[in-house]
Amino acid sequence: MTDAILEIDRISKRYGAVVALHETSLVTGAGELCGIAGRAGAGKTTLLRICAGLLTADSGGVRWRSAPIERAMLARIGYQPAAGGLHPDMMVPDQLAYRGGLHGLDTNEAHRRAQVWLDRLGQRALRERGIGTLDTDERRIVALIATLLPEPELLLLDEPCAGMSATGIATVFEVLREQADNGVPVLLSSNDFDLVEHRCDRAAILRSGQPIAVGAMPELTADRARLIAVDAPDATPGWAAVVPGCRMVDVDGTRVVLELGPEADDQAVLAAAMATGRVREFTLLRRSLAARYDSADGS
Amino acid sequence: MNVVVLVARREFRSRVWSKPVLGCSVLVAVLLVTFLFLQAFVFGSEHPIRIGLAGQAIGLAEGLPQETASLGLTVAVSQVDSVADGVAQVKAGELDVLVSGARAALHVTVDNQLDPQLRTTLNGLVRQQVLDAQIAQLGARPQDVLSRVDQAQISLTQLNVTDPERVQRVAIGVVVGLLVTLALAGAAALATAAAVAGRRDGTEEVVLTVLRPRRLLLANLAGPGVTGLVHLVAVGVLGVVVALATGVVTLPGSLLAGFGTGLLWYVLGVAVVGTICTTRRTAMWLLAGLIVVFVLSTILLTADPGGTATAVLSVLPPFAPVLLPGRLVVGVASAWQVPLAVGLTLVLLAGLTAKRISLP
Repeated sequence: MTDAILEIDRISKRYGAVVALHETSLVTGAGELCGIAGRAGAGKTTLLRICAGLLTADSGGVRWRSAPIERAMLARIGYQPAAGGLHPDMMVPDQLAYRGGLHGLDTNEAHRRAQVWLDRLGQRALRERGIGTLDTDERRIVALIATLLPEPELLLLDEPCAGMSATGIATVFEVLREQADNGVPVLLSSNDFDLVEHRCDRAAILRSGQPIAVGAMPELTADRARLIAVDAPDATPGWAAVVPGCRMVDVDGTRVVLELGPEADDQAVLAAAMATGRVREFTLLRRSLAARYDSADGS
Repeated sequence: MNVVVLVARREFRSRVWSKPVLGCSVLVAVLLVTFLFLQAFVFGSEHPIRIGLAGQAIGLAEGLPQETASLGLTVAVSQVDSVADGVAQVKAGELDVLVSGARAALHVTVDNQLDPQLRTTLNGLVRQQVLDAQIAQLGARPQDVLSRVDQAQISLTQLNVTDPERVQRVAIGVVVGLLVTLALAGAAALATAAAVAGRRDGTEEVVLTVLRPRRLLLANLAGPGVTGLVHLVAVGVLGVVVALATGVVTLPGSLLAGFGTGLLWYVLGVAVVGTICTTRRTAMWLLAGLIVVFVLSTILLTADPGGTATAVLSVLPPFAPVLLPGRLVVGVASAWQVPLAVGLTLVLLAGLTAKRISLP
């Protein structure tokens, strides 16, 4: 990872008796797309709101380039709420100019930038439309343009692709990847684990305010407790028991899925399988983020 | 552009000519103008009593209108060809009263009831005729005697002078209070709609990243507040023009003073109302509260505008926007009560804004 630009350091937040976040930490560097994955109530929105200065953490803090985020910095953050932050009664160009104006952009300049973005994303026709008439893809794209218009130094996006089509999601992530490549850290939340897994460089998995796993994507998806699928048609049941630290977790005919503990050697498993006769399959399985979320301990 | 102005301008533009707001204002304006026209041409107007004179009574044609006018009675006098013709016209409803016979023994025919004041006037004329004849019989000139009689009058000391225009002043106060109440209710509805939509659409969150909650509150108050002010001024000006043009109100100074103070209290009231209204639930409670305050204020203003209880309540925040303008119009409020009431309202406003929570 490049040097951390945004550091979320052991943040905790309670709403009365409800723990929204418990000692959650996350770092994001320039050029990184960082995802916060979790189901409803996991604490994703609370975390983003704290980063955007909309909520105050009970403990812990957020640092930007090693310093606490000041009020002046908040205006340079591009924050997109889950609902989009658009006024249904406005025309698209007026809405974009208004959002630019909130960040100090001159009306003409805001209109110019809005036109550039709409043209670039193939949404020129939206200039004649009202926000209230847009479909989900169009609304999400307009919301993203509104967030990008002031050229923010940090992007905080709450469920930016909720309800979007695959095409729309591809468009959004094309833009976000470009922003990241230009040095703008992107922190986004989603309840779609596959989206975070396949589109983000780094992620935090939250469940009921508790961080289950945090790290770069290869670390999160790599097998700590590895899974291996083996199809050995000549083997007798329980053939893998000879390998220390190996446990069978699934059986489908002659195909078994084995879980290997830290001390188990996958080469020893392969040798044991070959010792039974033919081996038709020997596959190292990856564990998805969703699987990690759904497992009891998050391992 | 200043962000507060930008947000307030957006709120103002999106609501000032919106159909619900415009519809409410047009409805209030129509009701107000209808009320004023009814007051001017139906309830407040007096139809002249149609009097027909027959025979020797025709001699009353000049004197009768003057006599009745001194009692505040308007009559339309005409001559009829005969008593029978006059009776027929009374039966047909073309005349209210038929007067016939000699001046010293007038006979009056009506369909049902004779106006008591007209009866007094006609009796006076008959008695005057008899008195003139008696004085002449005694050898004196009736004009000299009557002149001496007219000079003999009582002397009067009034301990409690009632303002003859008091009813009109109270009415102005009540109508101004009603308009302010309606405008505050409208502003409360707009502020609530803005707050609810802001949370639903996430627009409040977006603005809060660049604006402190207190300044966002100011912007959110200014938008609906100015919208309500524009409509209140429009309806109020229309009401003032129609009230003066139709002659329903004959006290333009009181009317303009009442309207002006009503606008001042609307501005203060809308700040309080907008601060409270963040959910539909609070708006409904506030609306019910406004109705109660208006009804109580109207009762107090009508029954005892100068009373101690009315004076105390009129400087307290819930009642001040409605009750104090009314008491000012009636002329029973002291000047120092205005800054006191404004101060108490500002203290309440400061307390409310300190407690306002911006995000759920």
